[in-house]
Amino acid sequence: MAKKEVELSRRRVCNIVFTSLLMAGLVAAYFLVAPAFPRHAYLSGWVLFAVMLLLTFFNLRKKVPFLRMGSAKFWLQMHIYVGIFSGALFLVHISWTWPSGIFYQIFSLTYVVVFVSGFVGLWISRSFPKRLTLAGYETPFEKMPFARAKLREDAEALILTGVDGQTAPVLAEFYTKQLGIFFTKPANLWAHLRGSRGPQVAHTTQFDEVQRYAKKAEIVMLDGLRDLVDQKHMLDFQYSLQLSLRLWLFVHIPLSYSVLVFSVLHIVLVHSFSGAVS
Amino acid sequence: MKNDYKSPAFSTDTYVRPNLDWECGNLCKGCPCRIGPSPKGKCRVSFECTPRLVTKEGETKGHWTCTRPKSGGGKCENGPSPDGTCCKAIPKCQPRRTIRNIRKRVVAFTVIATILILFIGLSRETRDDFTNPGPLSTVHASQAFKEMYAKMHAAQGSPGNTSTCAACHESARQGADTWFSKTFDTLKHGLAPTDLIRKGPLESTAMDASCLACHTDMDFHQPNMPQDFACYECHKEHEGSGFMADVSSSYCTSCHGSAELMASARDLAVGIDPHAFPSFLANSDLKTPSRERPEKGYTDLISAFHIDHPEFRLKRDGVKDVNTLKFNHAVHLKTGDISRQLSCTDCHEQDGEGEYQKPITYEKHCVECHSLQFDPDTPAQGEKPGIYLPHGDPYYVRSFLRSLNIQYEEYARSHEGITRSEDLSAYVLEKRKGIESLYETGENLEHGVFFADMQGKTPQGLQVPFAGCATCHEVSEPKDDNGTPVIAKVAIPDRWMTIGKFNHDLHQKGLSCLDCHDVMNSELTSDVNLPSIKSCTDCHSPQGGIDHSCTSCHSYHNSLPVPVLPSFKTEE
Repeated sequence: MAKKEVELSRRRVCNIVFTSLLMAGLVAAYFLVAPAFPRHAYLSGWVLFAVMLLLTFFNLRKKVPFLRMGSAKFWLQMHIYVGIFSGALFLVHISWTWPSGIFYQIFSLTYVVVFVSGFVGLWISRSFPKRLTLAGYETPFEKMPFARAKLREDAEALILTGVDGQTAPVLAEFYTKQLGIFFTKPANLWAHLRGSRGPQVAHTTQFDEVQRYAKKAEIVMLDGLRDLVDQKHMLDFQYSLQLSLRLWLFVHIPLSYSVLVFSVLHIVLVHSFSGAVS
Repeated sequence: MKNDYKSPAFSTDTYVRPNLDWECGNLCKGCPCRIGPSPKGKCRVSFECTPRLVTKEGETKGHWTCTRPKSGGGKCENGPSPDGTCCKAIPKCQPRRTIRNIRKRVVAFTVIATILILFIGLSRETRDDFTNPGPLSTVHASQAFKEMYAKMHAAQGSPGNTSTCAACHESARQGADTWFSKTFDTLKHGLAPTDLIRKGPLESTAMDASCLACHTDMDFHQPNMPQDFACYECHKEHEGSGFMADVSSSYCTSCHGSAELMASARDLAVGIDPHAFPSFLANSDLKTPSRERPEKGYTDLISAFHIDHPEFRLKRDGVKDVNTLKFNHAVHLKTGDISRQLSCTDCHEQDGEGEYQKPITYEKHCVECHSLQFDPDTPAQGEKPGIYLPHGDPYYVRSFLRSLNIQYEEYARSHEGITRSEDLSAYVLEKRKGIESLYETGENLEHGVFFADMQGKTPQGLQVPFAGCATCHEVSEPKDDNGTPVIAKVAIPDRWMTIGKFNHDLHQKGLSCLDCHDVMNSELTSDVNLPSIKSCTDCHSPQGGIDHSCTSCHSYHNSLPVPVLPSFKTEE
């Protein structure tokens, strides 16, 4: 395991150093060499377009695994570092100046959103799994409805069982008013995403208040319910983070295609309006 | 949040397919059906099983048996109804889209929205604004420019739109349906892959014709250029309103810093008529010193003004001022035997734009001290002028001297109030006696006026009480017996340095004239007194912090040369 981590760390350092050198070389070339090449913006534009296509192929690679186009790990690494490099290439292409035309601003903004969402996704993909493992109660995303249903059933069974064959009205009311909805669906997603323990503390306070009016036997039942509420919080935490691991792609992927569509028009515009034919 | 709770365990019987587009509506309740929705999202459930009719040997009717699998709870207690239907009907659900399917739809929606945005943006009404890569410079964005183009367009009678974009871009003129074909044309010629890595300035393009339609005669630089360059190589449009951005020096040094291009220009210059090269002489309003084109033209390699710009030719070649006017800057600026110490601005006045100096004239700048008063007894009285020699044509000077009686009579009338004829004659006689006592004869007076120097001495040894024309001018004897002495014509250039421009007004802020022009020790007319380039680069350099771009002095656009004589024009 340790060997694997060392290898991963070494690979990451190598990739970062290589990408940084490439970016530094690109920027240096822009300032030192590019002035001698008056059409360098066209050149950087074509390279950027090729890079965008390559980055989009990552999604295609996932869709057609039967085509032997390298391992998914390699494609992911390539996607990350080529994506970072594309940021430098983009800056060079726009000559470090934010464009001012309507189309070009929309185009650039879309690219920036894709780039930033990629970075956010990278951060999420790297940090959330660790948080999920550290927190415990790991549950596959697809299985969460079952786990949630199980917790709800257990909680309802606990309340319906009652104490000594008699229903406990205080607890039943407490469950109905405070916990019924909570057990039905995912809750407190944003709070869990932020790592806040506010919802848990709120529930603990409510339990403490109810406990003052509970009999001894009911207190045992309350403790069981506390356990179930805690597990539901754990499940919601898992759900919140795992949902985020999927949702960032809702920004990154669709806008990637928008960037490609904009790129095609951009290529047509800059060529048909260039001095060569105008 | 870490605690001791174990991860929940799940039955492996329940297989969830997140890659499908639809999921059972009951999944969120934790009890999805086994069959799941159809690929089109329809709920397919009816009963928990499909009972099977089992007919044992000897039985005619048989009986229905529950087929519910073990994963679904096994055979039910009640079993199928007599008609063979399952007794456990499953309530239908509303299937839900999976996250993956929602993402697909978001992708499709985004792509459609993107294309829609492009369609709206590229519609005829919004196309120009939408595709404009940046604000035009104020002039090109003005209504006047648009109207001017519309008029030109109408005069040419060519079809197509008359928007501001169309004034420069053929593609805008012809419409969006030509864009693809033009793109492919460009990819074949002009912006082909091999063109993208071609070094050097952009050669002249088709769009230049649009620029030159208004900016006529702006495409000429030098006749020995290897090729013409595209206007937009230097002039970047669409970079903001206001004036177009200043031209970067890198565009100039891309040629003037290239040994290869300069050598090529030198070769091309061989055999070209020198008059085909642009010159300030084309401006007939200016008096400039004659100058030969350097043998190698202006092909010195220059990478930056402050690094290797050649020394000004006037300094480098030691050019002398050939003006015939005798002038000693040191005497006029230092305290000496003159009535008052002068400053530079007493004579050198800036023109309206503050760039250059107005011409120096005798009437304005010299007369205060050099009044040409040959008779001290006839001074000016208030606003009434005294008897002074006329300045200018020596013929008039001689005529004036030969009509002194009339001048004295006029002076007596205007200054002394004498009107009677006898009194006037007596006055003139008295004055003539005074003159004769000073000059003895009329010939001496005339000779002294023309040939006396600052001390009143003439070359013939005559001493007169008057500084004559020879004080400042080169005077020579008449060419015939009754001729007028000849005074060499004065020629003060309007410009010494004609290739660059200069603004004196800007330089006066923080500098005095003497910081650049070393005139305090200049005693000869032949001293040009122009500064060395060193005094420029002290400030016009990165160290000095002042603009040192090529265009602060030079312009690429030269006037087309006209056949004028390159001789030194002199003051008429």
